[in-house]
Amino acid sequence: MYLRLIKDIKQKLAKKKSAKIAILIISIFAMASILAFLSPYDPNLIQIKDRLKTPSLKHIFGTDLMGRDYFTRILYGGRVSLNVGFLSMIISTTLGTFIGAICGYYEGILDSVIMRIVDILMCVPSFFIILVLNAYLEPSMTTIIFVIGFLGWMGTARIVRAETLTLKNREYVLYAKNLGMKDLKIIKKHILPSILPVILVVATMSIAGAILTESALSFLGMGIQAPSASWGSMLSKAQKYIGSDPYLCIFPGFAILMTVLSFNILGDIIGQIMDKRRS
Amino acid sequence: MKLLEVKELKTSFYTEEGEVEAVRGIDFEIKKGEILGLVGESGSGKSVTAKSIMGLIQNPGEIKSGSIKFQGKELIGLSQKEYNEINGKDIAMIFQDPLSSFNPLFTIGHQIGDVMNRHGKKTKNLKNKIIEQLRKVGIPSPKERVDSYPHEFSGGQRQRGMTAMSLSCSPELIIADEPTTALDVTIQAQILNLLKKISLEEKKSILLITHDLGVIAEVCDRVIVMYGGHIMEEGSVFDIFDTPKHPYTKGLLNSIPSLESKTKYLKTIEGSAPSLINPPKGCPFAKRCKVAKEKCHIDLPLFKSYDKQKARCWQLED
Amino acid sequence: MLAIGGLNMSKMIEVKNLKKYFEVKRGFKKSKLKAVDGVSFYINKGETFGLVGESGCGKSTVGRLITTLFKATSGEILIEGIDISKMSSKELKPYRKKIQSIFQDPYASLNPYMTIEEIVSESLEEQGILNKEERKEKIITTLEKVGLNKEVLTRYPHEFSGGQRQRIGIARAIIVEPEFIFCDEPISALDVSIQAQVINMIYDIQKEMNLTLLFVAHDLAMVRHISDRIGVMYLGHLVEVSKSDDLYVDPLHPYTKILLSSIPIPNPRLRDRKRMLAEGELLSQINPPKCCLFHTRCPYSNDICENTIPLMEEVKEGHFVACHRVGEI
Repeated sequence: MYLRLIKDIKQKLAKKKSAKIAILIISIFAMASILAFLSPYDPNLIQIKDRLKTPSLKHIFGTDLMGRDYFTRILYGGRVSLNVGFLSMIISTTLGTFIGAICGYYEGILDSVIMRIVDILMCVPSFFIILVLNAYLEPSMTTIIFVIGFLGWMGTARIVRAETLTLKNREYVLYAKNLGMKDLKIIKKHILPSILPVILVVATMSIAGAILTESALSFLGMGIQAPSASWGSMLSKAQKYIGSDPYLCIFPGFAILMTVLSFNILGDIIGQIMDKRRS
Repeated sequence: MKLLEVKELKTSFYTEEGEVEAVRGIDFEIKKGEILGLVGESGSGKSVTAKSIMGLIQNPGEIKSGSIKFQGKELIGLSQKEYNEINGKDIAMIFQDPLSSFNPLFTIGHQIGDVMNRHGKKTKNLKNKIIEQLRKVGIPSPKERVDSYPHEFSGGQRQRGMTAMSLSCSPELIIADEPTTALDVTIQAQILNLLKKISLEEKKSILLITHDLGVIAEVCDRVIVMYGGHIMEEGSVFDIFDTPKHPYTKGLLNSIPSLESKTKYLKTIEGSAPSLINPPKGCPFAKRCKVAKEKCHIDLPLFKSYDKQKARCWQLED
Repeated sequence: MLAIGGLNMSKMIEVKNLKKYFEVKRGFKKSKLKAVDGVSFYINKGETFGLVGESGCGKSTVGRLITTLFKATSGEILIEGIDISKMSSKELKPYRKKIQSIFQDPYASLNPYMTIEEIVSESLEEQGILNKEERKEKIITTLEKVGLNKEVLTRYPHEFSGGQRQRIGIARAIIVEPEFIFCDEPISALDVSIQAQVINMIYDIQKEMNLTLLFVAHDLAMVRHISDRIGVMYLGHLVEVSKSDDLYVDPLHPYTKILLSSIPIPNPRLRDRKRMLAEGELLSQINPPKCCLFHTRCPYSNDICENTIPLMEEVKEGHFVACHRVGEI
């Protein structure tokens, strides 16, 4: 059943140029991060004698203030961003879908209570909660993934709940109920496939958001700790050198820009495709 | 006197899949004070015909060719501004779904007043005139209801409100596009009676579009039958029901279950309507027609007169 | 109520004083919308019972109560004599096979992401009776019964027309060989020329499989064609029940008379006939008053009608009416 949906989306995406470009960029970054180990340089090896070298054939992106090869650091930084983005998206999407579907399907008191909790949680600026939590807990990639994931499910939940509310009164759902099908099976078989397009859109957008959040955290020094590379922390260190060695800012900044933009565009286009199908 | 004259009208929509030829060359006229019924299934082109007359065809659709003359004046090619002068004042439309035809944010009285103002009927007693309109269409307690919002009315009352709005500037031609399809049968009877009364008492013409032959029989003076973007038959309501000439009309009349007799099997028309993207050559009904000849699949039959009726069918030539 | 005389009829479905109230919030007040308010009737085995009425009368709700989509507020629902209205999900299991539904909207009754094979086999799978090959066999034969060949198995609903989708819906319902089918306005959303095709098919299948049908509709002409007995509902109440022919030939309740009179007749020579049309406003089903709910539109209403709820009485053999003034008009 999901096969048809995926085939459908693939077909429609193939028609849009901007989608192809976005997917290409994301693939390049993903490939590059995975193959980061192929780089002859150690991203954390400090070589003071080589510090602040401008981009050359030997160091394609130059070196940073500790003499580390910048290109390699960007690659490893990419690993961080994509990991955090992807894994926290998995957490927030799974949580949000589950809660949203249950609330939308059963309604009643459960729904009212949980939705009020969602409302309250959404009022609180999550970035500051993340900052505070990170201050308490040991800031590591795992912590960040969980924190961003557990504070990002609310939006998904709301959207999934809205869709579920509409879908559960569809006649094919009523038919399944008539057969005595168990609720969970109905949700899995009849409701989820129709929600999948929406979830896909929300998921791609949340990857973008997560990457941005991680970069911001690392920029403030509350994310990935030295010596590990993260685009955000690289940006942070590069602040002082923005006049003298601008390349230190440009590369990580550009990397963040391209990744986030690509995911956003992809999500937007999938959303457009889904809209057309409705009418 | 010819109020509306349509000649060779062709309207198409350009979609991703191709050009949808919704209306493929139709001719008809409406006299003053007459109720003309336009009957056809979904996809026959009837709604598009109405919208073409009202100038409501927009991108990705357009009127490809033909002429629509209202009171002698050509409508195709008019600017939006010129259309706005006519819409509401000389020609008015009653839509199928009254809920989505009214703006939910304004009262019914306000919206009717809007129409009247736009067409220069600004008088001191505007509110009273509006209340009078509501009373004419049978809305109870019009003085109180004039300040109510659309969602506070029932379906039948909204349709009456829509009728009042259409009549507010006393148009000569009312186009009613499936005005009672969404209504219960008891309300439908009341609305149809209202339309009949208005046409009779104020000598207004009505183009009544529907797929329900019962409605046609109750209300209309003349009938045109559309199928696949063409007019298949035309005649007085009595002639069409007594002596239908076209196989499609005959099929339609046969498949209505009658209230009187109880035959267990209903006669049907096998098959379904043709696609209007690259429509089939020849007669659009040929594929479903029980008496189709080879010629029917190749050449489009001509629209000719037979006694007092007109029909488009090769069978009638012999 | 006594069984209608004639053949050895047994009651397949019986509904006693069935009520379904919905809670409605109006501002801070909680009110009750009485969608179904004390409905009693029965359907004999092998019979088609037509349930008609205008929008909001509760006819669809009655069907959904019988198929347990809704839980009744009160009253009994008897299937072959056994009350299922208060049964748990587990206790209802053996009844699921006997009861099936066909819905109105062909565009919303089939899951757009499932193939036709998956859709039609869904009911079989839930029963868990046959193995995969046997199921496929059965699907093919059932599809043939509704006039579709096995090529449709791998296709998706959006590739078919409204009429074809309804046939798929019918195939899905009959494949488990049920005893009762709730048909919820199955032809209202179809074109007129297709309606006849589908009704003919339902009629044939019913006779072949000896099915009991509850046929809900608002098109009185179509209902007469397929029903043996008909019930007329108004604002949550059953106002008249009789054999299908009797209803059209000798309607006793004023609402039935008006309903029949309002139907447009496809014969222009009869357009000036004497007709009884409704005037006046509908009462609300939210906290309705205790009286005959039709009195505001009834040309015969008097004091009693405005103050007492009329009860259903057998006025002629097999013909029941709920009207205070039935003998006098």
